[in-house]
Amino acid sequence: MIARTARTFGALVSRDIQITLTYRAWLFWLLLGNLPVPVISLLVWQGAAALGAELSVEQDYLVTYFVLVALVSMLTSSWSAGFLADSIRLGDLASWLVRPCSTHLNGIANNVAEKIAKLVLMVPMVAVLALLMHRQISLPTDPLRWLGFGVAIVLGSVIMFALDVLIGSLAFWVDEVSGVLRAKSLVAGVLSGAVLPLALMPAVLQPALAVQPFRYVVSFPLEVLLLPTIPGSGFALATGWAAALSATAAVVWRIGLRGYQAAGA
Amino acid sequence: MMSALSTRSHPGDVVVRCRDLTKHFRYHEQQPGLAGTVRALLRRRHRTRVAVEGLDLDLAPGEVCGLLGRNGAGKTTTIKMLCGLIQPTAGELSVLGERPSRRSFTFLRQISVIFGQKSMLWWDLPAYDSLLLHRRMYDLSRSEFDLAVGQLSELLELGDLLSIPVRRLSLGQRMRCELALALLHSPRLLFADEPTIGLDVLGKRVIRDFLARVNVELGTSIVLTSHDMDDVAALCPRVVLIDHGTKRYDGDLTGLARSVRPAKQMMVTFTAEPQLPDPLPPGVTVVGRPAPDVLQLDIDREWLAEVLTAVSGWGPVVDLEVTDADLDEVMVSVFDGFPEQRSPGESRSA
Repeated sequence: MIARTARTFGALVSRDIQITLTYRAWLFWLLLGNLPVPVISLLVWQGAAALGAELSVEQDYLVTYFVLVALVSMLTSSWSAGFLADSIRLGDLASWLVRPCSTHLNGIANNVAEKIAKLVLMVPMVAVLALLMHRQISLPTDPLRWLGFGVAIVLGSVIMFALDVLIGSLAFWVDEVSGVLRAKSLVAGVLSGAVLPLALMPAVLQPALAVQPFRYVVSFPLEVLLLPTIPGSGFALATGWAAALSATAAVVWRIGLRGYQAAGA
Repeated sequence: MMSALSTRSHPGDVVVRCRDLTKHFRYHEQQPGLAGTVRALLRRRHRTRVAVEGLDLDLAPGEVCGLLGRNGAGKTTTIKMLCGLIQPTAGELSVLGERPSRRSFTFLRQISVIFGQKSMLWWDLPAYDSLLLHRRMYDLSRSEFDLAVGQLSELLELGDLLSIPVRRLSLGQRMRCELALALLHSPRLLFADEPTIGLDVLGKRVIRDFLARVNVELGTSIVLTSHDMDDVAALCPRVVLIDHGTKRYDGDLTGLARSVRPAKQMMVTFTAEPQLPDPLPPGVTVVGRPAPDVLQLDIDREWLAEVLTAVSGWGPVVDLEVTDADLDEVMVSVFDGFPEQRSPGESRSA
């Protein structure tokens, strides 16, 4: 079963890369839209530092953080919730339920393919940015750091995908989930560290920020890569969030499926 | 001819067995307008609709069964329960020895579903890529896959269609590709929900001929729903008539037609206006007179021979045609006999 699932997954990823590459211009503009927020944030914070603002992190850390943040955000993001909700609402889910392939395997493959296709275009963009800022960028050379970074990226992706399944599953009970999606996107942008490093937020909020799930989506992988010491408890918390959200998503999905009416199929 | 598409049927098995199968849907009711929407926000009124009630059905291996009924009668809900899409509210259901709603690999590997109004193909890719994906999903070896694709391409005359993005295909071409996809893994049981909807006469014929051949040569059992009575007549030796979620008839189509419209129809064309006897012979009713020299009659079967002899005495006959009632008219008569409004099946709760 595992071998069949792996082969099916490979075929689905290949199919999605094919489809994504069919829409090259759309992909390019989508990627270009990811860059302005970190670049503007970087310029704002550099300006603030130049005016004498006291920042709780080193200037080099800030620059490296903002150069990498778009890449990490892209790698851990998931865009499945809207597709899943639509497939439930419009009846397309039926075509997955009558085939021996989970719609979630399709969702994961779709996300992985999207990242592969985007990486091809995004890496050169980030490289250009890094080249422009190379004097202030310091990246670790320890392979253990990069391994930890990779694990943190995977855990962050699981958290985001599980959240997407959870939100998408709401379509079993409500007609419209786009409001919830927008709220999640807003909250995740701030609490994940995508808009600004969590370290720059007020000290009184730091204990709460450290344990909330969105930290493990963007901030934590960058902390693993850029902070002097790797926070071991962070991996435990990230694993805990990933497991808890996956289990909750699985339960909610099953309950939803039990009452599914396959309207539109 | 279709050796690669073996369905591995087990003679003697019952393909579908359901007893007292029931499905109720719960939905909320909302009054129209802004006030109704606001009221629904504060207090929702729920209703329960009976979609299928106490359905008993057995299907033998290799059997083709047509589910008939008007829109909303419960046909599609029945198919959705049989293929595991929705869970029954009550009753027993076994399909190919499995409980469909568990959707095990063993079960899904043996069934296939064609939705006339929903594509199973990937819109942006050539149909061949969809076939490749199904190869992985259904765990087919390369040789099984190549052989099946070759045979399906030949039978459905797919030619170059498999290499064209699906969105560029006509509806008829797409349906042929849908059939190839559905049959690739040689299912033992095929659910076809309105497979010819929207197709022209030639397209319909290709689909019917193919399904008939799959049934005869592979022994694939087929459950078909269609509002096109020509589909049903061409494919289904057995029909099950469902109305308001309950089974109203289970038998062959001829039996249904005879029980509802027992009279034969006769169209007689004379050289001039015929001289009809007064009174008319027993068992004869004039139902129409499309032209002064043309008579349209309904004749009781038992009097048919006598009437055939008598007709030549009414005037010189140019043409004579005797038929059973048109199937669409039969269905109209069937539905006319059922009450339109559902009252006992619905309940309401706040």
